[in-house]
Amino acid sequence: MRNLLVFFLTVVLVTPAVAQDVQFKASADKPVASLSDQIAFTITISGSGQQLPQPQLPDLSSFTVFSSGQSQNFSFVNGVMHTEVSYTYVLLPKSEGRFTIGPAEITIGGRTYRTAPVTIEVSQKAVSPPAGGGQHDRYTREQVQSGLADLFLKAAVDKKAPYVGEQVTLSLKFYQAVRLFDQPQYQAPALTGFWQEPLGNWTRSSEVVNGKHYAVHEMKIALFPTQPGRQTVGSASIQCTVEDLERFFSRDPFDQFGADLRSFFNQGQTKILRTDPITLEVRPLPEAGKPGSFSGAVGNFTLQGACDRTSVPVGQPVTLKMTISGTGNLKAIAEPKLPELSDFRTYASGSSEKIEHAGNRIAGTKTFEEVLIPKAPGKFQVPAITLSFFDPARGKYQTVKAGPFVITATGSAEQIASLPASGEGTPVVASDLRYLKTNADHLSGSAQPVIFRLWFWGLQLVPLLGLGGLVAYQKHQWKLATDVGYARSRRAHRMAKKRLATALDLIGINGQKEFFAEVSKAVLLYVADKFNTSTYGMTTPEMEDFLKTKGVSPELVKRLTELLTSCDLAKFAPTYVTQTDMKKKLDEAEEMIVSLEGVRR
Amino acid sequence: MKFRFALSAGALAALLLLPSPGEAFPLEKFHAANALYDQGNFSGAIAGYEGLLSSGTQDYRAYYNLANAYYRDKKIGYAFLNLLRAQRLAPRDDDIRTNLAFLKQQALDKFPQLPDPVGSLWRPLALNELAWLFSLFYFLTIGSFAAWRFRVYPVRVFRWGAVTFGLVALIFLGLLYGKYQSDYAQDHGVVIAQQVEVKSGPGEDFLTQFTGHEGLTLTVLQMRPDWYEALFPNGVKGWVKKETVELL
Repeated sequence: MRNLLVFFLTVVLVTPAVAQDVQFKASADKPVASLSDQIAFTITISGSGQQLPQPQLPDLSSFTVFSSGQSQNFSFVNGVMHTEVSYTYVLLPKSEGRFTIGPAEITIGGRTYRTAPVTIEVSQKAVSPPAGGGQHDRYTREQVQSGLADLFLKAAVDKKAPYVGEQVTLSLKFYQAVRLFDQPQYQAPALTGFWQEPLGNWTRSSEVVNGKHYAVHEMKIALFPTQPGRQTVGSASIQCTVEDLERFFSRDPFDQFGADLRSFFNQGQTKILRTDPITLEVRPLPEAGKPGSFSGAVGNFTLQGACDRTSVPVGQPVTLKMTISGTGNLKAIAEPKLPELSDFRTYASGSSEKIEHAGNRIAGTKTFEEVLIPKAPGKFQVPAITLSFFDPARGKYQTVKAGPFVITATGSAEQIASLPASGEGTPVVASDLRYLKTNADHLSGSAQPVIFRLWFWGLQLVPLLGLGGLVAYQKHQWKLATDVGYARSRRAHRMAKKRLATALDLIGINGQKEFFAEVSKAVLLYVADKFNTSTYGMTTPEMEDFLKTKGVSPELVKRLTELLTSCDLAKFAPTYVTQTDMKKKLDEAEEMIVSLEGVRR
Repeated sequence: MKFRFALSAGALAALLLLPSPGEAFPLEKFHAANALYDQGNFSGAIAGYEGLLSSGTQDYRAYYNLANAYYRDKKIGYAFLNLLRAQRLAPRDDDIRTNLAFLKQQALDKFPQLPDPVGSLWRPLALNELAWLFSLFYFLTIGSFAAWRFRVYPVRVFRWGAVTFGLVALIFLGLLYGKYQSDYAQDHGVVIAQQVEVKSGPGEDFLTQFTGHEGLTLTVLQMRPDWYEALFPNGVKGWVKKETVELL
């Protein structure tokens, strides 16, 4: 019944119906378990009708919970359909003690059902009876040892009492003698109190245990305890699914139909394999003989030091490279301390590390770079650098040395001021702000951008206006050259003024006749030029008509004809006209011309 | 009315009589502040440069030196602010660029610089430079056009000149617009408080989206009496209190 998902049956048969006669139960497969046991916790709901909701789980925080599946069973009794759904969870105890799993809840048809609480007692080493239908617990240690189990997981360490910082190799082995349905899911052990470094990935080999062939998957992890005392390597686990063969052999003769369906829908059986936690007694590093320069390095190391050059100009950097290589907890190694160097400026320029695993040991190199800049010319000695470490193999402290180094600084003291320009191979020494800007003999005033100023955009109009003016001038020139009427009209006022000026001159020399002739001519010729016509031989009424067709106001026409008539009269009549009157006539003519100027051609 | 006229006339007279900004007087202030900086009196130097800048001088060197002094006085937010102001006036100055990179290293909030290929077109040029470049090519365009229109020899050269100069002028006009939009149409600011909580709304009760620190740059999107809505370089839009930010 378990591990069975008659999924398509549910899909096909589901019709809305409310369940009745509800039974709601929770059970654990064993009341007493050890820390390494798996407990199957099952919640079963049964009732008539097909729709049974999912129950609400009780608090299971004292256990690691894996869902192991859901099974559903239908039966018809006297034409009434009966449904039973079971949800199974695999519980792994987290600690010892007595745990009560509270009630699970379900609401069906407005009624809430609760299961009775289930009590489980977890002890350090409980003798779990192999009987009792503990399907999740079939592979006990005894069975593993007797070679019965098809699958098991083993953890082992190479040392039980390491020093702080000494490498312990944890080996996890997964033994497999049956086909797996899916990719096993590995959960790493809890490793608090250790610095860990995996030693490669899972490797595959085969092994024979008690005459049984196993495929063995192994993984190794290097552990470095960081604190003395009792430290625990937690338990690792693997979850995998195997073929559920048992079902074939325990076939119920009355369950023929169901069994066939099951083998068809066989989802396999989920297994969770766990290792026992391993306790290590981590020894502290001995205080006796601990060198002052010791800073936590445990293992076996060598130290090398080298300067990239031995002679430099003053103010130029020398890089001192310190390389630590060997096996041990390289990551914990701090930079070897340089002694106080009064002749140099020093900067830590960087560090790099390369970690590899030689066999099952963590090894590698760690490089520190220190930049030294001589402050003055001369020959200087950088004292030897030292590294102290604890060698767990010999159980005592060791100190290694590199150097001393001799550096010659050449050149004069002035060169110190200028730090090196970073060129090829020269490291950038130290970064700081660049100095002030001091070379100013004029400071600029406003920071307001020109685009916010009106004059800037006004300035942009200048060429446009210039261009417009040029184009207009060109047009005018062109018209003067091609349009006689335009040219005459443009000339008219100027010519009229000239003639009137001549007339004015005539007033003084008493040429009355000539004066009136000139005034009359000025007005007539102005009209001729202005309207691009000929006024010679035009009679006064003709003139009147012509001007009227040109849109000159009748009042102005009248005044014009009056002026011309009076001029003609004064020309031929021998009456004496005073200079004042002549002046008046001249003004009148001038006024008339100005008025005519406003008339469009 | 009369009084107002007298006042403006007086102001005009004062403007004409006083030494115009940028003459010897501010320059002396500038050198005095530099000397204070050299003596390690950074707060004195700050006061000197600030006085100089508030009295009308707007020189990038003053902003640059002020930023240096603020940095030495452990006010990294103000250092950023003034260095950015300096860069606005002198976008190609190498010292400004180097110091900005240095300050970015020192700042607590490190966000990756988002690539801005369009912005990099106008970044190397100041707004005024773009304005004058546009103006120059615009004048050349009109000039060439006139020469072509009035058949100045070689006519063909002037015709192509007008087209080419016109295109260049248009490009500079576009860049000018872009620069204006990115740098001037929007308000940019720098966080000057040591720490600032970026809220999801204009009030203390809103959720804190992240905590920014001195020197964090931002673009103001909206202003409220006490709050700014801003876009931060990590792409977050949020609200900060006005007094924690100084605008460029």
